[in-house]
Amino acid sequence: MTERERPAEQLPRTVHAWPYLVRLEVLAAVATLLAVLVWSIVADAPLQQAANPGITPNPAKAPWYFLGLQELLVYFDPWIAGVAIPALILFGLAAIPYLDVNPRGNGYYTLRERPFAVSVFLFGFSLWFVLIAVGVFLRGPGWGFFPPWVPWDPLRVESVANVDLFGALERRSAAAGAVAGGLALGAYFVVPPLVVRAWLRRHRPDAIARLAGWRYAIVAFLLLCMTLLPVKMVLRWLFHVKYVWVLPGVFNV
Amino acid sequence: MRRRGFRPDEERSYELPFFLLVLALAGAVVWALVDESLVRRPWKRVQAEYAALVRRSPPGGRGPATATATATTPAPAPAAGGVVGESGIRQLVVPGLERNEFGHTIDRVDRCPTCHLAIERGPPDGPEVFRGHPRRWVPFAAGRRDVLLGVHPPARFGCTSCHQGQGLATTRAEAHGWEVPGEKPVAFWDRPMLLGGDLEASCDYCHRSELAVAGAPLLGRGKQLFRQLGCAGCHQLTGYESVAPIGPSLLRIASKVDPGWLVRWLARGPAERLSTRMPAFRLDAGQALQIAAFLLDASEPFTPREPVPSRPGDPKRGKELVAQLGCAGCHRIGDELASPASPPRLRLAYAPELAALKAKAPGAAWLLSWLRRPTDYDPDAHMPSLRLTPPEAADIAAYLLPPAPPPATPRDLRASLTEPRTIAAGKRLVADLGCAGCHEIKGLKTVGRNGPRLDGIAAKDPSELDFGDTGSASYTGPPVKRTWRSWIAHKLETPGLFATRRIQLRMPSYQLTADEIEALTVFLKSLAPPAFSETYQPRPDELGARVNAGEQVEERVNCRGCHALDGGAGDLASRYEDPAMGPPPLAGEGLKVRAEWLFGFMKAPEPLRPWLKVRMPSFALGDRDAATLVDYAAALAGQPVLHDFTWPPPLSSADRAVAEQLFVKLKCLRCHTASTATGGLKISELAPDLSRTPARLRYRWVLAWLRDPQAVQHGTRMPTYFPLMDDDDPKSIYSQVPWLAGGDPQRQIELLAAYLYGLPPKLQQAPAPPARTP
Repeated sequence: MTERERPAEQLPRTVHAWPYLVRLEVLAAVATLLAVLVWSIVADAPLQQAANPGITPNPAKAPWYFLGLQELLVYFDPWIAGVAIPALILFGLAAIPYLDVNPRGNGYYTLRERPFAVSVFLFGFSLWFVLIAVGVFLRGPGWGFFPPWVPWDPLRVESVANVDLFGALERRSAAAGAVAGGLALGAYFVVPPLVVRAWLRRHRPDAIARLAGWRYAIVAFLLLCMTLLPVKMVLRWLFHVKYVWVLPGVFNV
Repeated sequence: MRRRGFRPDEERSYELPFFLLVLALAGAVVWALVDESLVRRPWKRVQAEYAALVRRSPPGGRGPATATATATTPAPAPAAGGVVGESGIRQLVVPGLERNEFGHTIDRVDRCPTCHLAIERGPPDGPEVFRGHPRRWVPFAAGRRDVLLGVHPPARFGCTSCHQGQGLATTRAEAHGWEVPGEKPVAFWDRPMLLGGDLEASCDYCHRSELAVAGAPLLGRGKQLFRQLGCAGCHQLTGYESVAPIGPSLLRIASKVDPGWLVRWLARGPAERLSTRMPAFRLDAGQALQIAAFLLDASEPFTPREPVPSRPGDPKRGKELVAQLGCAGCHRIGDELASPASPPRLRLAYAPELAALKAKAPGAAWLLSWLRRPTDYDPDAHMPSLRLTPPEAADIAAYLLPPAPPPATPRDLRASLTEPRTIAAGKRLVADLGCAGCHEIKGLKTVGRNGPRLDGIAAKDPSELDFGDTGSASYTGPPVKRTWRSWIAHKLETPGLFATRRIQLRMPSYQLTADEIEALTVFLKSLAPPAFSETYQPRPDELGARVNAGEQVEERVNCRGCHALDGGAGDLASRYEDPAMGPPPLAGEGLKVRAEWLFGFMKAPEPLRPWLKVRMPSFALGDRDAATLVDYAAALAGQPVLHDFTWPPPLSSADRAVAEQLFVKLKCLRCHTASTATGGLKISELAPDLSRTPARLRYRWVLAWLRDPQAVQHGTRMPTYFPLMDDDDPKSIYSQVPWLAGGDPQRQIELLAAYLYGLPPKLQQAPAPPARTP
C-alpha cells in the first residue's frame, strides 16, 4: 500500500504552515538570537597570542567544528578516528535513502510513525555535538580533562595508566590477546543483530519483512559502529580501557 | 486518535512566551549597549575623573595645576592627539616599529595616554594614573639630552617599546599585561609591562652590543657578571660565541700543584673561598678524586727553563718587592675575608689570592719560571712579565713560598690517582660537568658548551620551566612562586634546587648575592628581544664599538687594576697616599699620546718615570690586542681619528733662540729630568723626560698642556705658567716672561712646544732597553 493509496482518515492530522509553523519558527529565532547575544556579552572571542610559527600552543585545538573529530582521537587510533569513522559517517548518510524504506513522513513531520529513524538520527547528531562541546570546553593542556572550575595549569600532571581490555592475556601472549580481542569485537558486531532479529521475527514480522536481509545487516553494522563510540567512552571513563582488540603494530581498536 | 490533553495548534496562543522572549531580547540589547559603551571602556570614567580633577584644582597651584593650564588653554597633546576635557581614545602610533613573526613590518599603537592623561606635564605626586613621567617629555634637560625620554621621545618610540605591555588594550589589566602585577600575567600576552629594575632589560633590545648602557646600571652589571662569571663557558648565547674562557689552563697542571691540594680544592675549595671565580660543584670526595686523577693524567710535562739561583732568596726583600712592584693591582695578599658583602672586585678577584699559594705547593722552580716568564708555562697566561731580574724573582719566590719540604702525597692517594678506572671516570665527569668551558684541558678543546642555550629564555612561560619537586607536598624548602622571575632567581641562588630524583642538574653554585642575582635576572630578562626594525635601531656608534672592543681586552689585561682610565680611580692607584708615586692616571690618554708610540709601549713598555717603584708589566699582547687597546684609548677620550698628523712648524733660528730662552727661563729641566738624580727635589716632583716628546706626545695636546695643565689633568704638579687673568676671557693669558716673543703668550706657548719637538739630540736618552729581559 503506497502513501497515495492511504485513506484520508488514516493520514496524520495536519495544519497550515502559515501562521502555525512560522510563528513557532519566529519564537525559535528570537530565542536563538537572545542566547547568542547573551553569550557574546558574557564570553569573549577565544583569541590567543599573535600567531608565531615557532610556538605550538598547548592545547593545540582544531577549529570548533572539527573538535568532535579531534575528541574522537581520545578513544580511537588516528586511522579509525580520522579516516574510517568520517568515511563511515559519509557513507551511512549517503546510504539512508536506500536503507530507509519507510514511506511515512513524506511531506509532513511525524515522530510517531518513524520512531527508530528519528531517534537514531538524533542520537548520532547529539553525540557529535557532545564531542564538540567536550573538546571546546573541557579539554585543556595536554588534552587533559579539565572540569570548568579547574584552571588550565599546564604543570598539572595526571598520570592515568590506561590498560587494554585483555591486557593480562596480552602480557602472556600477544596472539592470545589478539584472538580474544577479535572474538570480543566480532561478538559485538554479530550477537546483538541476531538477538534483535529473532525478537523482531516474533513480535514485528512486518518490519523484518520490509528490511531485506542485506539491508538489515548494513543498518545493524552502521548502528553498531556508531554505538561503538559510547561503548568505548564508558570503557575508558569507568575502567580506563584503552584498546579492546590489539594487533601489535598493525591495528588497535 | 486524539490523545487526552491534546490541543490543536489552531487553538493555541503563544502570546505570553513571545512577549517574554521579546522583553528578554530588549533587555539583552540594553545590556549589550551598556557593556560596550561603559563596562568595556573604563577609560571613560578615568577621563571624567581627570576632567573633574582639573576643574577642582586652583589655577597656578600645585598638583594637577599644570594640567589646569592645559585645560584653560587647550593645547593638544603633541603626539597622542585630543584635547583635555574631550573624551576619546588617545594613541601614539609608531609606524613600522617591528617585524612580526612572518617578517612583515607592523605598526605599534600605544593607547597609554588615554588614561595617563598627564604623563607629559603632570605632577610627580597625586593619583598614580595622573602622574607625570618621572623623566618628563623634555627633550633637553639642563643642556643635556636626557638619555631616556630626550633621546627616545615617546612621539617617535611610543610607550611599549620600552615598557612593554599591550599598547592597544584599554583596560587596566590588559594594557599592563598583569592581572596581579608581578604575580599573574594576563593570558595570551607574552610581554607584560616590565616592572621595577626589569625595565632596564628593554634597553638591551636595541643596545645589545653595548657593554654598559647609559641609564641601565643593573643591566650593565648583569652583563659584566655574565662575562666575569664565565656563564658563556657553558651556555651558548648570540654575541658571546667567542668569549675567552675565564679559568687558567690545566694543560700542565701536574707540574704546578700538589695532588692532595687538587683533590681538596675540587671537593670543597670554591665553596669555602668566595674570592675565587670557580663556582662550587656539588662533588663528593670520590668525584673530586676522579677528576683530579684525570687532570693529572692528561697533564703535559713541563720543565721550567729557569735556572735555580745560586743565592737563596731573601723573603724580606721579596715582601718589599711584592708591595712595591704593584702585584696588588691584580692579586690580593692574605685577604681571605672576602664575604658575600665584599665589594665585587674583592669577591670575584681578577687573580688568585697570593697567601693561598703555599697550599698549592708548587715547586720553587715552577714559581721562578712563572714569575719571570709566565708564557713559558701557559702561552695564554694573563699574568704579565714584570721584567724581574733573577735575584728579584728569587726574593719574591722566597717570600711567597717559604722553604718547606715538599708535601708528601700519601701512597694510597698516589695509587688511586693513577688507577685507570678512576681516570676514566674522571674524564667522563670532566666532560659532563663542562670543565672545559672555563679551563683548557687536553683532549677537550671543543667540549664545554653543555648548558642550555640562553637565547629567548626571557620569553619562556613558567609552564616551560621545570620547577622540579618544589611544587610537591614533600618539598620543605622556601616556597617557590610559579613565575619566571622566581624560577630564575632561585636557579641562580641555588642551582640544584630544581633537581629531582631523575633529573640531575649540572649548574654549579656561584654563591651570588641578592644584588648580583637581581642584575643577572635583568640581563636574562633582556634575552628575548622583539624584532624592532632597523629604522628604530640606534645609529652605529663607531666610538662606542671601539670602546666595547677595548673593554673586552681591558678586562683580560686588567688595566683598571692599576690605572684610572676614565674618571674613576684605578684600584692600585687609589691606594697611594701620594698619587704621583702610583700608576699614572690615564684619563684622556688617547688625546695625549701618539698612537704609534702607544702601540709600541703596549707591546714593550719602556720606563717613562724611572724613579717610580711600581712597574708597568710587559703584557704578552698580540698586535691585534695592542692595536685594540690603542684604539680604546683614543675612543675613550672621544677621539674619532686614531692618528695625529699635526706637527709644529719648523723654527727659524731666531725663534729657536727665543724658545730656548723660554725653556731655560721656565726651568723645565728642573723637574723633567732624564735621570733618577733628584737634584734636591722630592722624588714625587720628578717629571718624564722631555726628549720623548716628539715620538710620544700629540702636538695639540702639548699646546693645551702648556696653556693650562690643571684643565687637562686635575691635580697635576705641572705649574700653570700661562694662567688666565680673567676667567671668563680665554684670550687674557698672562705670561711671566712678557719681554720674550713680543709678549704674546700664545706665541710663547707655540714656540715652547715647537722647541720641545726639536730638542737637541744631546738631551735625548739612549733608546730604552728592550722590555723583555733576555
